[in-house]
Amino acid sequence: MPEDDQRKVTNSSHRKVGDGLPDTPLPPHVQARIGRQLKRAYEDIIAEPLPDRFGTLLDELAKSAKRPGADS
Amino acid sequence: MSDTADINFQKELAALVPNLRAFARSLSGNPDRADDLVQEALVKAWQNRGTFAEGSNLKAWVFTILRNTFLSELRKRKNEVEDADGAFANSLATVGNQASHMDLLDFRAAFETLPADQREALILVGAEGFGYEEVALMCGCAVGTIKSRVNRARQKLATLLAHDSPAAVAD
Repeated sequence: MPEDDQRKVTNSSHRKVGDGLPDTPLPPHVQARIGRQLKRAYEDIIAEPLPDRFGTLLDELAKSAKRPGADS
Repeated sequence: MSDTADINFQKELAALVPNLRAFARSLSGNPDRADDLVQEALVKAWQNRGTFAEGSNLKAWVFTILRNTFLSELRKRKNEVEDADGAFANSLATVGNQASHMDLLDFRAAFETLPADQREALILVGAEGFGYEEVALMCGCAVGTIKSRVNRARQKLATLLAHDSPAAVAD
């Protein structure tokens, strides 16, 4: 008994913050709050004005496809 | 591929650009590099459009291309220091003046401390709404691995943001 218990104590004291108990679910209100903040941060980026480069790029790709042999 | 199919494909890709940018920013943190990633992913998606199985999920397909591009770039840059720090914080200047501004800033700073694989899993499941099985396919790993990454990410965020303290119950 003593040996086993000592080993357990040693192991748990080495556990890193944030790395422990990965499969223990968070309280629902905590998980919901994190979910809301995550979505808000993500949607802020989605709502940013788009640089012109992407529309231009897609137009160029489409144009190159129409030239015979330009797009394999 | 017919002209009509090409035009449709182009439209569908264009509609995905905002989400691709947000996903790329979550992975790389540096907005310029994130946009370069989106550009590369769009070119690859276009060049390989003949291999896309029509009727399957285009978003999942292009997201997979983007994350694979990010990963291969990361391997190339192995010796360079990741410059994710600061980039995400800088982008906050444009976020606005909501009452929750500080709260959001804290969240982004906390999010940045997560390892890339956990950021990816959390974004795909929690922000994009992909299913665990779908994300496992996209990342080429087991469903349990994705669940574990999402759980670890949530645990760490809860710790960093002190959401699990009694004082932090109200939003």
